[in-house]
Amino acid sequence: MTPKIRMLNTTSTALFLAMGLAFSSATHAAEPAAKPVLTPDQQAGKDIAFSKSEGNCLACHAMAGGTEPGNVGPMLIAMKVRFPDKEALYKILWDPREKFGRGIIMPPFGDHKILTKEQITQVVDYLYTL
Amino acid sequence: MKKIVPTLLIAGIVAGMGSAIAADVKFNPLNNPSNPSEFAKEFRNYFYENFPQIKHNEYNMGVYGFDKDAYSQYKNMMEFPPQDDYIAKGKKIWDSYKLPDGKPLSSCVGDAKGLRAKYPYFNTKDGQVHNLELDLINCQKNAGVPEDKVWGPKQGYADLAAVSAYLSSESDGMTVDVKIPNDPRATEAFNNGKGMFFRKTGQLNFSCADCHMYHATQRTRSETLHTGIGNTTGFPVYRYSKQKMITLNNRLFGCMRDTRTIPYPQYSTQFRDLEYFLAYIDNGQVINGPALRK
Ligand code: HEC
Ligand code: HEC
Repeated sequence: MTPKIRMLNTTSTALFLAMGLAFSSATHAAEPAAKPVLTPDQQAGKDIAFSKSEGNCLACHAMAGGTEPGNVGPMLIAMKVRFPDKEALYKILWDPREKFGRGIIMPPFGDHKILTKEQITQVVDYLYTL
Repeated sequence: MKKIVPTLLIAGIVAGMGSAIAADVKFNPLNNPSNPSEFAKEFRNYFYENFPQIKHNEYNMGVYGFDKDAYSQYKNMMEFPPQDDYIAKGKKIWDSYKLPDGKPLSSCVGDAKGLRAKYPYFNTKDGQVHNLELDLINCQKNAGVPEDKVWGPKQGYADLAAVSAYLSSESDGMTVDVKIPNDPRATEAFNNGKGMFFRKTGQLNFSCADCHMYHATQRTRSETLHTGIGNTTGFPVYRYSKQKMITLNNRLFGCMRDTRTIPYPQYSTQFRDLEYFLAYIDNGQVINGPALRK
C-alpha cells in the first residue's frame, strides 16, 4: 500500500468514525463521557502498552493519557468502533505483517515473543477502552 | 448537534495523525541497480524528493537540519561547546603518545591534518574497509603495545574517542569523498553494508531503513528520526545526555543492539562495511565533527 493510499484510508476511517460516533451518541445521548474505571486486566494492558521495556506502543502511537507519544503509527483511538472484531485487533498485535506486509515497522509482538498471549489479550482489552 | 462537534474533532485528530506520513515517494531497493554510484544516487534522491524542506548542505546536521525545536535546543547547548575539551584532550594525547619504538601514532597512520577525511577507505591490499579508530588500535597492536594498554571498546575508550574528536576537528570543513575502487571486493563490501542497512533484524524486527528512511523525520517518543544522509559527517559525536564522546562504530553497535539482536563484534567486517555504505552515501557532504547531539 502506498503512503498516499494509506492516508486516504485513514481519512475515510475518520469519516466513518465521525458518522459512527455521531450516530451512537444520538442513541446514547444521556450517557456522560466519563473516564472509564479500568478492570485489572485493562489496567495491566495499559501498563504494558505504556511501559518502555514491554509494549512501548507510545513510541509510535498517540494514546489518550500517554505523554510524549511518537507519530510513526496512527493514533489509537475509538478502537471498539473501528475494530468491532476483537480477534482482528489481537492479530494485528500478534503479527502486524499479516495485515500490513513484511515492511511494516511495528514489531510482531506475539510472533517474536516480545509479549505473551495473555499480555496481548490484556493490551487488546485496554485498547477497547480507548 | 452539540455532540457532533467533539466527534468531528476526534475525526480530525485521527485524520491529522494519519497524515503524519514521512515518505510519499516510494523506494524499492530490490528494483535498484547493484552499481554503487547508481544506487547512491537513487538513495539520495529518495530523500531529496520526500523532504524538499531539508537543504542539501544541511543533511550533515542530522535532526538539527529540519527539526526547528531541536535546533533551538542545539543552539543553546552550543553556547559552550562541550566538544572543545575533548578536542584539546585528544590533541594532547596525539602529540604525546609514543608507541613502544618511541614513534608517534602519525608514523603509522599519517599526519593529523585531513586524516579523518581519508576514512573509511577500501584497502585493495588486504581487501578490507578501514576504519580510523580500528587503524589506531591496530597501530598499537602491531607495535607491540601490551594487550591491556590497547584502546579497546572498553578500556582506553575515552582516550580513543578524544583522539578521534581531535582528528575530526582537523578535517572540519573538508568534503566526504569515499571511493569505491575498481575491485569486486570493494563493491561487495558496499553491497554488504547496504544489506545491513535494509535487513530487518532482532526481536523487534527493525531495519535501519525502517527508522532512518521510511519513517525519517517522524518521531519515536520525543526522538526525531534523522534521515539516511549525514549519518557519518559529525562523528565522533558528543552526547549531551550521556556526557560522553561516542565513535561511529560504537553508535552503530548501539543501534543494532537496540533492535534486540546479538550485535556483531565491534569493528567487525560487518560494521566497517556498514560504515562504508553510509559514508559513501554522504559523499559531497561537509565533515563537521566532532558534533553535538542532545
Ligand atoms: C516502531 C513502531 C510501532 C510500535 C512500537 C507499535 N506500532 Fe502499531 N503501528 C505502527 C504503524 C506504522 C502502523 C500503521 C500501519 C499501516 O497503516 O500501514 C501501526 C498500526 C497499528 C494498529 C492498526 C491501527 C489502525 O488504525 O489501522 C494497531 C491497532 C496498533 N498498531 C497497535 C499497536 C500496539 C497496541 C502497540 C504496542 C503493543 C503497537 N502498535 C506498537 C507502528 C508501531
Ligand atoms: C527504532 C528506530 C531506529 C532503528 C531501527 C535504528 N535507529 Fe539509528 N537512531 C534512532 C534514533 C531515535 C536516533 C537518535 C537518538 C540517538 O542518537 O539515540 C538514532 C541515531 C542514529 C545515529 C546517530 C546520528 C547522529 O547524528 O548522531 C546513527 C549514525 C544511526 N542512528 C544509524 C543507524 C543505523 C545504521 C541503524 C541500523 C543498524 C539504525 N540507526 C537503526 C532510531 C533508530
